[in-house]
Amino acid sequence: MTVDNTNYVEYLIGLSKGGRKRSFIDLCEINLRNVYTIAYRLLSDAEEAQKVTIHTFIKSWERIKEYNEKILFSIWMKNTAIEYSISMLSNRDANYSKKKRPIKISSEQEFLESHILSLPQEERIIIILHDIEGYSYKEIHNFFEGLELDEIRSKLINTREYLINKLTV
Amino acid sequence: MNCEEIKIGLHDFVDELSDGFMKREIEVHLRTCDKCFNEYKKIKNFFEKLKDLANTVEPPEGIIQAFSSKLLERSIKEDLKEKTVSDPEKIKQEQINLERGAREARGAFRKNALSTSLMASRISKPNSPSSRINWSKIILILLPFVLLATAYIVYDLQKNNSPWKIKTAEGMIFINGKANNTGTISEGESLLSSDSSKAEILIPRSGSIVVDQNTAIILEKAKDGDNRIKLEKGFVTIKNISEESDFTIDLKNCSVSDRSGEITVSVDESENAKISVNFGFTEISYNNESYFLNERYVCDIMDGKKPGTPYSSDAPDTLMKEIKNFDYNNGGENSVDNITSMARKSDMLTLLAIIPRSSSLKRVTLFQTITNHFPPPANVTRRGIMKADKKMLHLWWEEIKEQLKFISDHK
Repeated sequence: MTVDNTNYVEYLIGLSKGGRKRSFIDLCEINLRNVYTIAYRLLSDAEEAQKVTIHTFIKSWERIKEYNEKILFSIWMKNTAIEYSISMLSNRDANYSKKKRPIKISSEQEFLESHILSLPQEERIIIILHDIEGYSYKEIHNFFEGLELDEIRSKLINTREYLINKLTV
Repeated sequence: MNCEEIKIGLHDFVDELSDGFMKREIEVHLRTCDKCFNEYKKIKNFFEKLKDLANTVEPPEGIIQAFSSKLLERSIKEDLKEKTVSDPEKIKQEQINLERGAREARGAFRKNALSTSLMASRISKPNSPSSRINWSKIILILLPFVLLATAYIVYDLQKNNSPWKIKTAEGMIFINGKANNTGTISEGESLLSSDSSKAEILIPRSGSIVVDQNTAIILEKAKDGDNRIKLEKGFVTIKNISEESDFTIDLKNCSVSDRSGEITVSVDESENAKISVNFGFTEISYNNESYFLNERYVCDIMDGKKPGTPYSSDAPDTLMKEIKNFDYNNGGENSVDNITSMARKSDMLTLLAIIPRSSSLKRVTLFQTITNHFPPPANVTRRGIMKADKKMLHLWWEEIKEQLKFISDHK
């Protein structure tokens, strides 16, 4: 079973596999927001999100020949971004401080977004991947091997309760 | 089950991870317990807010440049051979597609669990259980029934035909909010198409559904004889080849059943529905009332209101406009006069449908006009029609339907 990338994306992938860098850059441009957003939300840090985005593009280029149509290209790239974001998070040294936080709260959405961004790492990753991006417990476990399914579930429930609380207050 | 257990269980419930037993426990509990129902509403509200979250965060400028210079400097020579030219228009379009996909994915997610049916059904509260009874006696009496029931359930279960196969899908479609990659849709799942995608779903032993662009459906029931989808928005064509089993499409406040025919149903942004019957037999149920729709007839339903008067699919615009006036703009007797004067032979079912909705004065003219084309069959009397007798109207309807079919078959 193949999934449906649009014809244009399919065409760009074909050229990229043949070594055409320009076409691959076009693919990156298409997926830029997609990749940057997930990295930004997971890391809660604009500068690191930029690093992860570029890193994701580079790695995707190196592995483009391994890409197959079993999975949407946008999801394939996003998965790479998630892997790098998580490894970046776990490599943050103890004295990493949240230097700059370019979050301005001007609406209710941003209110919720800012609460999500200021959650502890694991909780943040779980709620973003499960509730915003639609990944299953199993898939989250694959990204995040330290956590068992039960832990993911209970952390998710606690986080939701916490955020629901924030919204009702 | 106590409230604390329910509260924890609610999360699995909205994630559609509860087993059947738990799901029923929760549904029953929510109907009676205001406290937990409030919790449920809070979770629901949370997902609404989550849905409104910005799809994407604006990336800082220069990422692509930084990346491309990094990539290009790897080997400049190779690069010189490249001749492909970027197409900024197409890139833009793809970005829009992706973003819309993300939003719709989040929207369709959990749609099912958070349906309004629970809200509606909450009004009727079950009675409290009765006092102690002699159980062993009752079990003995009930045993044969239980066996029969079990046999029936087994028989019934084998009628389940989930999942349905998706045959062709242009562009990206989403099953339960995720870009599709299995090629099937199971009971309880939703399907969403974008403005560049289409799909055809095969209904086992019954036919197929063609799903057009920008359409959202939920497969409510996948069972021989009781296949049922909900059309949230968009445009579908149902081809039902099965003689005995109905295919049902639920719309806002009403449902449309099709038996061995082909119908197209659409729902627009303002929840106005249009049902056209290409051939076969169609019945619309609204408020426990049935409205029949003949082949080559169309029915408009504005925003979940009472189904409009059916009109022939080749009816002239002026007639269609007048019918809309009559149905939704209080056109009254004036409209009935205009419709009557414009109606052709093939529009007589429209007039027949107007009879119960018009004043007794107008019923006289309507009766006369229809009689001129199709004299009433046996057992249908003028007096009965004046009283808008349901049975008689139906008999006459059947008669006209047959004759219209005969006429069109012999053209």
